[in-house]
This record gives sequence, structure tokens and C-alpha cells, in this order.
Amino acid sequence: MPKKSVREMNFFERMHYSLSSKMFHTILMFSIILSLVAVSFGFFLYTRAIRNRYADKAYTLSANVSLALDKDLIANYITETKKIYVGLDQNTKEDINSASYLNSFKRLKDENYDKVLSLLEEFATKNEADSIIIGYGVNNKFINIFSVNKDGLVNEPGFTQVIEEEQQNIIETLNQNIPIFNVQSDNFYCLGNTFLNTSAGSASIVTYFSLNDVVRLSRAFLLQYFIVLFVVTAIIDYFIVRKMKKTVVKPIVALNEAARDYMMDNDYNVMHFSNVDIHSGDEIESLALIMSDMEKKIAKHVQDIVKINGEKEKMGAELNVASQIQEGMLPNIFPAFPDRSEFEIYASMHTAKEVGGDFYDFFLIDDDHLATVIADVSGKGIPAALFMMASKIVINNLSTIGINDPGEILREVNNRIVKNNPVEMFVTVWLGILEISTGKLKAANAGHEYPCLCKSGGKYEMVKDKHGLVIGGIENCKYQTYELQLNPGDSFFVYTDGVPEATNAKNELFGNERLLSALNDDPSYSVVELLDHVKERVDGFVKEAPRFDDITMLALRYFGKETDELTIDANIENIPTVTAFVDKKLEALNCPEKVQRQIAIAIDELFSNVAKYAYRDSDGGNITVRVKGEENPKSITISFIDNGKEFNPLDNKEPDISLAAEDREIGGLGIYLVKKTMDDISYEYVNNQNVLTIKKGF
Amino acid sequence: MNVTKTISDGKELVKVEGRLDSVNASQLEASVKEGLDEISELEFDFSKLDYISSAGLRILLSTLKSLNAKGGSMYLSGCNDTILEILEVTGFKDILNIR
Repeated sequence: MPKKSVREMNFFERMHYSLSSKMFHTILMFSIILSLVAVSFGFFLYTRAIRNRYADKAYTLSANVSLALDKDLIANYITETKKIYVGLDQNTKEDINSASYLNSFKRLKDENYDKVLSLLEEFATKNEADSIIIGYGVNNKFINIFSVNKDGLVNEPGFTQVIEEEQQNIIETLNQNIPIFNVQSDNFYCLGNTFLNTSAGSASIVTYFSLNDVVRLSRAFLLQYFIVLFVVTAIIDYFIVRKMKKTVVKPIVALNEAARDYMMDNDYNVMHFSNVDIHSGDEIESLALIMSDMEKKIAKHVQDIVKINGEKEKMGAELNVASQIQEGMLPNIFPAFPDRSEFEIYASMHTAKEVGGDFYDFFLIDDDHLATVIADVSGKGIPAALFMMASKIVINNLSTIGINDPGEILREVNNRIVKNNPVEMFVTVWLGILEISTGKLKAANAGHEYPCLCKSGGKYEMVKDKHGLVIGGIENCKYQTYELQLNPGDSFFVYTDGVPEATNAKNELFGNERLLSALNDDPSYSVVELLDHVKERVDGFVKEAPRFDDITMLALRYFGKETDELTIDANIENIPTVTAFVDKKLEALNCPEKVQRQIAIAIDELFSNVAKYAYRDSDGGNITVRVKGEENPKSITISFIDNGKEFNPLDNKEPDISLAAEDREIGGLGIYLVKKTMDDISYEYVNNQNVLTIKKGF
Repeated sequence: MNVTKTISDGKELVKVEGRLDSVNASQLEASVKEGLDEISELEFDFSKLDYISSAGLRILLSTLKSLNAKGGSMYLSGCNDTILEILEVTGFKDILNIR
């Protein structure tokens, strides 16, 4: 297997690992093995045939020789040889084939000896035997009596062959009268033996055939056979590979190319596999057809996905519009009531999804009543958003019909929502209605978080108000209305559970402690700064952890009715009413007693002035007293407005306060007193009205 | 405003409580004028008076003038800071006897 991917290979490596190359090598290897097996098997068969043939030949020859010989004659020679051998002295017997040893047997060569040799020689020549020997075995020795070779050489009579231990098969041949085929150190030969039984004992007629030539020839033949076989199989191999290339490799290459084109092409609608022309009728054609079907299926699937994506995009766009509608439903232009100076209000909503279930709301029920709502619908996403819209509208509608009792309003809201709530969603609501002129806040809580209240100069604290059941739960739930008094400078903060339940990566909750701490970080914050700060603290806490819940907050700071007006008949009898009216304002501002008295004197002086002089020439008229208190720095501004004749009391000559009592005039003293005790006094005549304004800080 | 008048040995003590302003000045004036001819010494006890406006000052001035004309005398007592300041500002401190 190659070590690198086919992508990383160069041209030669690809060639090397190509299918054709693999196929060629495999078949070549196969043919070599086949040739070797065939040659080996052929060699085995051939050798066996040769051996059997020569064994037969050797045996037949020795048998024929035995029949041709004169037994008596041979018996004489055996007798004589045995005699000579037995008669040998011990030394000569041991010195085999020495001159004296062989000389002892010389007398065997008589006139018949050569005749026998000639006969044997004729047999050998005719039968192409290499040698024929007649002799007998004694122990491990074989004593030749007659011996002829094909080339005419002969062993002397008495020539003795010692048969070594390892040549036991020769001994067996000699003893058992069976032919052998033997190889002795590259010497291939075959022996045949026949016993010739005579009166003097038996003699062995041994024929010897050398097979060396035959073996040499057969070896040469096998080599040629192998070469021819190899060449033929190699040629066949080449044609097989060519054929395979056409029927297997080419279609695979075509599929390969189609697959590559398919991968490169970004347009799924262009067919690549369908254009591949394969009609091989085998698995490759089947593969091509399957690939073609697969390609069509993918194209269809891609089309579906494109369609689904389009729909998803459309959904996303619609969701975006829905989100805008939802945002648009909430009052989100700030300052919300630029012409109302009695309070400042700010609210914000940060949704976790495109559309959320939280909402806040605030609206003027009438000139003196401001409703504030914060709510959290169960669940999230589109269902929560739809339920939120319904809840918001119902709360808004029922709040504006003049009940002005949050508990009652929530009861009615609940009853309406319960009736039309098939999926049993619910919403927690805190509803507060502020009486702007007095700062009286009536509120009711339907399962919502505790509101936080901050008294002027103090800290935000949770108001553990009594909770009713969530809206949308069960019919006819009662919600208790409770009252909080907001004095100028007081504020309240309401929120949804997304604030205290904001969770960081360590799974810790932001919690009420941190919320209160954030609210109390800087008492000088405006409501806008306050909400931004709380959001920052929450963000700083949550950091990168995922957000699950909407974060919605609303804060209101009450300044009180800065400008109060009282229009009253210009009669000095009404001075106590005017004083009480102003005093209420001063008390709300925590005005010191002394200043309060100075202001009471000023009211007395100025109001009585108007009462006495303004309508002197007519049947009387009204005076309007307009009071404006300011918190920072604390001050009060009071204007006295009448419709009488234009008259500027400040133009009057100041009284001489250094005169003796008898010379004193009382006129002008009042105005003088006011000038001296107030910080500022001014007069203007606008819209046919005398407007005298005093201002005093404290 | 509440006015309490006590006379003993030609000396009159007028105790004024509450506020002395345009609304009730005439009431005090009437109360003081009545029998003014028979006394030579008059004391205003202002210890329970919150404040006094120019209408009150006018009564003080006219009473002072009447008493001065026949050689009588007039005193103020128990004035709080507010009243003292008013008397100071208006120069009445210089012409009144304040105890």
C-alpha cells in the first residue's frame, strides 16, 4: 500500500500505483509462479518416466545376459575365484586391488574368459549399457569376475568394489534383485541386477546405465520450456491487461473524472454522472447508474434546501418585521413626556431572541394618572410575543377606562385573558398607577418580581409586596391594591426576572443583592443612566455566557408637581387658602420654618396688594397663584397673576425707614418687606396680565 | 390669630397668637383701639405669634403714634427671629421698644 494519498503523488507514482500497473504485476507474478509450478511438475514426471524406463532396461538386460550365459562355465569361474579369494594371505586380502591382490586372480583369464567378455561386450553395445559386471558379494565387498564397459575398458578379474555404508541401496539391489536409480554426487545412473544361480553358488549380473546425458538434456529442455512458458504468459498478460483496461479501468477513470467534475462544479443542477457512457453490463455500469441516480437525488435535495432556505429567509424577514412591530408597540421615544416635569420615566427591553415575551408599558390615563406596567410572559419566541401583545392591549384598555385601581384592573385583565387562553400561557404583571399631583402610587402585583423603591436621599430597597396569582391562571383571582407614597425625589424601579436570573459562565445568578448594589452605585444617576448602569453591571457579570432571558427594566423618579396653580377670587379672605396651598409645596420640599414664614408674609403682602388695588375700578376678579418648587438647589418660585389694570408695584417709591415714628408712612412697606426677604422679585405685564414673581431659595 | 387683652393699672397687655396678616389685622386693630384712650402703657406679647406682615406693622405704627401723642408708651415682647428680622428690615426696630 502507498504511504501517501493519491492527491500527493506525482505522475510516476500514480502510474506505479495505477490499476493497470497493479493488474499487470499481479498477472505477471501469477504467470511466473504458474511456469515454475508447471516446470517443477514436468521435471518430476519426466524424471520418474526416465527412471522407470532405465530401471526396466537395466533389469531386462541383466536377465537377458543371465539367460545367454553358460551356467557351468560361470560356475567354474565362481568356484575358482572363491578359491583364489579364500587362498589369499591375510595381508593381500586387506590390500584390496593392489598389484599382488589382482595378480592372484590373473589365472582366471583362460581361453573362455575372453569369449564371455566378448559376449558381454556385445550385449553392452547393443543395449547402450555403460557396463556389465558379473561378480558376487562378500560382506560389503563385491568381487568382479567379468567386467566390460561401453568404451571397451575393463576391470581386471578379482577387482573388488567396497560398498560404503551409505550405499546400502546398492547392496539391496545386489541382494534383492531389483533395479535402482541413483544419483551420486552429480552422477546419475541406473543399476540392474539378476542372480545367476549355478552349482557353485549364485553370481550377480549387474548392468550399469549412466543417465548424466539424459539429465543434461532434460535440464536444457526444462529451461527452454520455462522460458517459452514465461514469454507466452507475459504476452497473454499484456492482452489481458489491455482488455481489462478497456472494460474496467477506463470506466472507472470515467467515473473518477465525473466525480471530480461534480466536486468542482458548484451548480448541483448540472449532471455529470448521467453523461458517463458505460455499457459494460457489470458492477461498474451498475455503479455508474447508482451514481447517476444519486446525483439526481442530490440535485432534487439541493433544490428543496434552496427552497427551504428561501422560506427560512422569508420567515426571518417576517420575524424581523414582527420584532419591529413589537418594539413599536412599546413606548420607546424618550423623554416620553417632555411636557411633564413632575416625573421622569425610562424603560428598556433587551430581548434574548428576535421577539420576546417581556414587556413594559406606561401611559397617561388622564392628566393626573400615569400607569406603569412591567410584565413577563411564560415561554419565549413567537408564542410568547403573541401572548404579550394580547396582554399588553388588554391591560392598556382596562387601565384607561377609569377604574384607577390596579388590583381591580388586574382582576378584570385576568378574567378576560383566562377566557381566551387555550394554550394556558400566563403572564406575571406589576401594575402601578401614579397620582401625579400627590405622588400616591397604587400598585398590584400578579406574581411578578418585587419592585424596588428609593426614598429621596436614601437607598433602593425591595418592597415585599403581596403577590397575587399570575395572570392567565384561574378565573376570578383577587389582586390586592397597595399604596406607596412617592415624595419629590423618590423613585421606583421594576424589572423582569431576566435581571436577577442573568447567569454567568460559572452558573451563578446575578441575584437581588447585586441588583440592589447596582441600583445604589450612584444616587445622582438619572433614570436613563440608572437603567444603562444596571444593564452594564449585568453584562459585566454574564460576560460571554449565553443569554436565555429578556432583560426588561423600568424606572420612574417623582419630582412632584413642580408648577401648581391656584386660581381664586382676589379677596383677602382667601389668603389662608393660598398660604396653605403654597405651604403644602414647601413641606414637600422640606422647607425650613423660618423661610416658610417669610414666604407666608410675602404671600400676604402681595395677595392683599392685588386684592386691594387690582380690581378697584371693576367688580373684582381672580388671582392666579402659580407655584414652582425646585429640588436642586431647593427653591420656590411664586407668581401672582391678575387681570387688573397694569400696575407695577416695584415702581413705587421705597419707604424711608429712618424717619421717626410720627413721620412714618405705612404705604409701600409691604413690597419693601418682600423685596428684603425674598431672593428675587420681578414684574411683567404680559397678555394683559400683571405677573409678579418672587423667588426664594432655602 | 387669637388675641387676648388684659388691662391692669392703666397698663394693657395684648397677647397675639398665630399669624398677624392682612386678613386679621383689622381684627387686632379693632381690639387695640378699643379703650386705647384709657391706657398709657401697652405691651404686645408676641411670644406665640408666628409672623407679622405689613398690615400688622401698620397697626403697631398707628398704635405707637396714638400712644406717643399722649405721652404713653408701647413695648413688644417675645418676638421670634422672623418677627425681629421683619422689624429690623423695615426699620421698626429703631422706633419700637422691644424687650
